[in-house]
Amino acid sequence: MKRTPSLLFYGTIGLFMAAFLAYPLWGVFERAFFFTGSFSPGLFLATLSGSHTQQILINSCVLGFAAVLLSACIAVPLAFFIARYDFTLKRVVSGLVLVPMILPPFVGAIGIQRIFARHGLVNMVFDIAPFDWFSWSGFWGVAFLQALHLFPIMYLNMTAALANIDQGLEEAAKTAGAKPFAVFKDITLPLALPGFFSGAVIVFLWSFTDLGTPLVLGFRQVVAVEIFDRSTAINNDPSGPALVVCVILVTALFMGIMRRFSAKEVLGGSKGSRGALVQKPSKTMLACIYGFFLFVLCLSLLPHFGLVLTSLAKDWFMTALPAEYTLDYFETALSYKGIVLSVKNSLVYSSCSTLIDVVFGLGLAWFLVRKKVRGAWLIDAVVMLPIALPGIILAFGYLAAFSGTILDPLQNPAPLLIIGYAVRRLPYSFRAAYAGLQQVSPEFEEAAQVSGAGSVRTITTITVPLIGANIVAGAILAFIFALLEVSESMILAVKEQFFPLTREIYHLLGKIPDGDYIASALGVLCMFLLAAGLAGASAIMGKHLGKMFRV
Amino acid sequence: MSAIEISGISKKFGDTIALDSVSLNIGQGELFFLLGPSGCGKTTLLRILAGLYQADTGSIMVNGSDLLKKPVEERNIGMVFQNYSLWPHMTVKENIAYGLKLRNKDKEAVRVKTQEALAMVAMDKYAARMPSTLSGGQQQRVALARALAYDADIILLDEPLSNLDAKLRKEMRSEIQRLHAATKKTMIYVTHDQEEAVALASRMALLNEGKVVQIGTPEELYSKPINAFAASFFANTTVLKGKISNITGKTATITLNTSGFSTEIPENSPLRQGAHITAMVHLLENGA
Repeated sequence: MKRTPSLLFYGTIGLFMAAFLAYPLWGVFERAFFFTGSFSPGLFLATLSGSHTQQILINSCVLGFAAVLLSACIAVPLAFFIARYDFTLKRVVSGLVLVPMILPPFVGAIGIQRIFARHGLVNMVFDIAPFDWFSWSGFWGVAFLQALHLFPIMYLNMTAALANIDQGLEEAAKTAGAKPFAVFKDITLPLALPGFFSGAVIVFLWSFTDLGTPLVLGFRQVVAVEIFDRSTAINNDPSGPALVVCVILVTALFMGIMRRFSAKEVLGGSKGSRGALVQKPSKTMLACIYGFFLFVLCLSLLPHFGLVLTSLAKDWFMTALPAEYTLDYFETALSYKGIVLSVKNSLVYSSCSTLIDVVFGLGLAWFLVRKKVRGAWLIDAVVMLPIALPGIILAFGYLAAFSGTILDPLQNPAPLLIIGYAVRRLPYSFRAAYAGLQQVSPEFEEAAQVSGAGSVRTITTITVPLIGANIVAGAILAFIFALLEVSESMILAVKEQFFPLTREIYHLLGKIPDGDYIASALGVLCMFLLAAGLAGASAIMGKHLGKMFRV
Repeated sequence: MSAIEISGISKKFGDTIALDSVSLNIGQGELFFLLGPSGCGKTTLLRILAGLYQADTGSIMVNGSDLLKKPVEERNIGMVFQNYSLWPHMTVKENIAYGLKLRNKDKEAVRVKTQEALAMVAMDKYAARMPSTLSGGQQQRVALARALAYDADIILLDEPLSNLDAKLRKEMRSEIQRLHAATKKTMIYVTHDQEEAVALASRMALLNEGKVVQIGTPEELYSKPINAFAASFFANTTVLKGKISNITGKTATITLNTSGFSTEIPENSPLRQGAHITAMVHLLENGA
C-alpha cells in the first residue's frame, strides 16, 4: 500500500484546518491579549468588567436559553409523536417540520414584522389598538423567531434519541412495576437526554451568536450585534476581540458540557436491540398529534407567509392584508443590478465552498471509516466542531488574522468567504459520506484493489458511485446552508460588488421607497431554492438526515 | 392446586392468528416451559402474561383474580428479556434495586435485598459497574438478579440463553436450575431449544401454529409424543407410514405402505451397504 497519497491528503487537510480554523482563533486571542504588542490582559479585563459588556453578554445568554426553551416546547412533543406513534401522514409530517429551516430567521423577521406591526395583520384583524408587538417584546420577538427557525435541529436530535431506545428497556421497567410516568421519568427521559443536550447546545449557540435576527428586529443589545459594530474598527479597538474571546469561551464551555453528556451515549448496543416501540395512537392521541402539528406548522410558517405577502403586496399599509397584489417586485429584483450581482456572487461562493467540502468530506470520511486510523475520534471531533462554531467567531478571526495580508477581506472577501463557508459546512458533507461508507461493505473496494486499482482510482470508480446519493445529499446541505449564511457574509463582505445574497437582502431593507418589498421578493426566491434543496437532501438521506446536526 | 390457570387465550396480529384458544395450568413452584418453533406463539403468550400484549379473548387466573384485568405494573412479575434489557444509564446495583425501590420505601431494606440478589448470582464484585462493561454471561446474571430481587409472584424468562455461546449456555442452564431450586418461584420459560427444555423443565407445553400440541413432563413428551410434529420436534425421527393389520393380545402387526424405506445417514456414520441394522420407531396413531 502506497503511503504517499494518504500523507499528502492528511497534510493538506491538516494545513487547511490549521490555517483557517486554528490560526484565526489564535488571531482573536492575540488581538485581545497582545493588543499593545506585549501581553496586556488589562484591556481584556477592562472590557469584560464594563457594565455594558456584562449586560449584553447576559442578554445574549438569556436569549439563548429562551430560544432553547421555546424550541423545546415545540420540538420535544413533536419528536415524541414522530418517534413513538405510527399514523397515516407521518412521513409528510416529519418532512414538513423541517420546512422552517429553509429561511434564515432574519429574512423571516421581515415577514413577521408585517404581521405583528403597529398596523399589521394581527392588530387589524383582531381590531386591537395600534400596538407594536415587537418593540414591546423585542427580546421575545427575537427568541420566538429563532426558536421557529431552530426547533427542527432539536427535533432531529430528539427523534433519533427516542427512536434508538430499545423498547425492551421500557418493558423491563413496566414489568418491574413502574407506572407509565415512572417509566418515562426513570428510563425514557434519562436515555433521551444526550440527544436533547446535543440539540439544545446547538440551538443555544446559534441563538447566542445570531446576528441577523436581532439586527432586523432592532434588538441591538446582544453580543453578536456589538461584535458586528466593532468589526470595522478591528485595528484600533481591542474591545471587539475581547468580546469574541468571551463568545469563544462560552462556546467552548457549552460544547464541553455537550461532550460530557453525549459521552454516555454508548446505549442499547446489545445484540437484538429492537429500537423503540412504535404504537398506533388512540383516537384522542391522534387528534392531539394532528392538532399540535397543525399548530406548529401554522406558527412556523408565519414568517414565510408574511414574507410571501410582502413580496406580492403592491402597497401594504393600514390594512390587514395587502390591498393590491403585484409581481413587479420580483421583476425589479431580477433586473436590479446589485441583486443580480449578489445572486451570482452567492452562487459562485457557495459552489466553490461546496466543492471543497465534498472533496475533503469524502476523503476524511473514507480515512476514518476504512483505515481505522489512530485518534479517529479526535479528527471526527475537529471536523464536526464547526457545526457549533459561530460564524461571527470565524469571521472576526479572519478579520483579525488576515487583515493587511493578500487575503484581506477589505480588498476582496471572496477567498475568505468561500473558505469560511467551506469550514463551517464541512460537517454536513463529512457526516453524509461517513454514513454512506458505513453502509457499504469494504469488500467492494478490496475487490477493486486486488484487481489492481490504486487508492484514488478505487475511490473514484467504486466508492463514489456506491455512495453517490449520500455525497449529493451532503453537498446539497452544504450548498444551501452556505447560501443561507449570515454572520460571515455580514462581517466579511464590505464592498457592495462582493455582497452575497443575505448581505444584499440586509442592504435593501429599509431603503425607500420599496426596499422592503424587493428584499422580500428576493427572500421568497431564496426560500424556494432552499426548500427544493432540503427536500432533495431529505429524500436522499431519509432517516440519516438527523445525523448531520449532531456534534 | 394450580398457581396459574390460563384458559382460552387467543391473539391476532392483523390477519395472523398468533394464539388460538390456548389453555393450560401451571402449578405453584414449577419451572414450566413454553416450547416450540419460531412463530408458534410462545413469546406472544409470555408477553400476554407479562401484560406487554393484550389478549383478544380468555383469562389468566392467579390466586383467584384475573391477571389480564391488571396493568403490567401491578402484576408483580419478574421478567428476564432475551437481550437482557439492562438499563444502560444505571449501574448493576441500581438496575437490581429499581424494582425494590418502587415497592419499598425503606432504604435499608432496599440495600439489603439488593445485596442479597447480587450475592445470589455471585455478582457482588460488579455492583458499581455499568452494564455495558460486562460480558454477556455477566449481564445475564444481573438480569436474573433484577427479576428475582423484589419477590415477584411469577418469573418470566424469554429465551434467556439464546444470545450466549454454547459453553456459557450450559453454565447458565445449571445456574437457572440452582436459582429455581433456591427460590422455589413459579417460573415460565420460553425457548425453541428442546435440549434446554428437556434438561430444565418440570413440565412443558409444546406449541405449534398458535395451539398447544401437548403438555407434560419432558419424559412424557420425549417418549410419548402424541403426533408427528411432537415426535419430530424432539428427534430427527424417521417416519414410516403403514397400518395395523392385526392385533393379537399385546402384539400389533404393522404393514408398511412400502416394502423398504429410506432415511438420512448421519454424518461420519459407519453404515455400509449390506450391514445389518436395527431401526427404532416411535408408534403414532395417524389421524385415526
